[in-house]
Amino acid sequence: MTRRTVITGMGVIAPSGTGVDAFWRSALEGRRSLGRLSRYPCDGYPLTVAGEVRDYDPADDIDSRITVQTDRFTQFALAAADFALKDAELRPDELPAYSFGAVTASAAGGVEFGQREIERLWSRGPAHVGPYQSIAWFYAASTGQLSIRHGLKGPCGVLVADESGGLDAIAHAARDIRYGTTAMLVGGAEAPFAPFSMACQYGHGLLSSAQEPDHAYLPFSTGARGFVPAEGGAMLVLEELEEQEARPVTSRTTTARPQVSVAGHGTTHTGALRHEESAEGLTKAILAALDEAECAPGDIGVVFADGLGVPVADRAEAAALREVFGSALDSVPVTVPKTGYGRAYAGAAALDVTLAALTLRHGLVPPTPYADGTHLGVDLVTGAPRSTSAGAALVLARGLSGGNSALVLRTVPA
Amino acid sequence: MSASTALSHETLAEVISRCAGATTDAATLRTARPTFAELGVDSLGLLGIVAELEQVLGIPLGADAEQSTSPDELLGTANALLRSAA
Repeated sequence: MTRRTVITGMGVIAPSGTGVDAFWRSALEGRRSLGRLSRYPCDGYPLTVAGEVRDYDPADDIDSRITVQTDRFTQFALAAADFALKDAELRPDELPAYSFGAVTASAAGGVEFGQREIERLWSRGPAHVGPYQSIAWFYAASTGQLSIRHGLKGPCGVLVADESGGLDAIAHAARDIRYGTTAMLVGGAEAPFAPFSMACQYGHGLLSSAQEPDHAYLPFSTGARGFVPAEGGAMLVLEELEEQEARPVTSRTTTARPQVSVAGHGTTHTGALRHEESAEGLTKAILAALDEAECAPGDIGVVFADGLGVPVADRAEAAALREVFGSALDSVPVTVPKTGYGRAYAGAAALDVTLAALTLRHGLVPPTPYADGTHLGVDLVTGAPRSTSAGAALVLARGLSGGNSALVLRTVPA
Repeated sequence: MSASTALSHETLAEVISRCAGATTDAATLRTARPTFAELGVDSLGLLGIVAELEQVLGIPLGADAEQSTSPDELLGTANALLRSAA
């Protein structure tokens, strides 16, 4: 019997909204949630516009014994996972031991916590650095805390990677389910806005230097000038289709139809900042994902593009799509909803996958906020959401260090 | 910083709450005498509490303090050291 992985719970904390409903509504509206960076004084630095989570503090929902030992990125993951478990109506303690695991992806790690402790180190001395620094900065902190919080003894993992790693983590979790694990918590969340962390990125030249949100992040456009970074992310609950259908539930996502499966994944690596070469890498990743999903290109009804917003990278992504879809690309809607709230590194892919699953379920493609068109020969959805009868969605993500990943989601016939 | 005369339950409760996030107060420490495990303070939390007390009290508390199983025990260790340092 082939074990199939379906998404049964989603938890979102994004600059555009907290919770799946608010996030989906803002995506359909094309809400513009970018603003001036406020988590540290940005005067004098080359980055001004960012996507920040301002209406929700995850620390409000987490025990103070946990907040003292965790960075904001882990608090986002813990709170998002709580939302996702509630959405899935799944209580980890009701499953057999070793049957529930967690995988997260992280690019930044606990940099706000780390910056605070480093400031104590150089201003007051080593005795003033708290012991929780040893676990809070670490990329694995979110998976570890999730495992402790929910007693998850199943397969656990961490991918230290950025955008592409977010998709790879979901594929990793789906593979665990295929191999027999009952349920997985998977996703990514980031809180990258510490001065030293962002300073590490000023050199690569890909951050948008725009001063105003309206012109900051415009992938596939003639005005493309880099990307806007964001914080936040999403956690998903994945389960095996037939096991999930046998479980008594009443929650909306869990009982919603059609079910959406994680059907195929492909990933390649073409080297850091080699944007032109990502065309070939992305093409191969997409073909691998289609192959695993047993999809023809013509089955794909919508593409959630990586949309780096750097002209050479956008051209490469458009070229990859043209290579895979040929002339049929003209009738495939392509969207980059994250232009509305920014690229949350490893959290970005989980947010995109959430939107792609909702698109398949509701038949509406959310638009690309701020954008008003493209010159690269893709049918970019702008303005109002687009109706679709798509039964499969392709989600793309490239990492700044050269990862090119593709994930295919498919509706499961009732 | 010069050595303090004695560690109070009030100071200890404040340091436990601030460094380990465990909600407690002086009255609880005096009467209920909880263990660190009962307060939900793990070993790293205890390390942070001891390091902070060393700053507050102005004396090193040593490895014994880091092995304390309860605030009561830590208070006793700290106050014995303060008396011998006086």
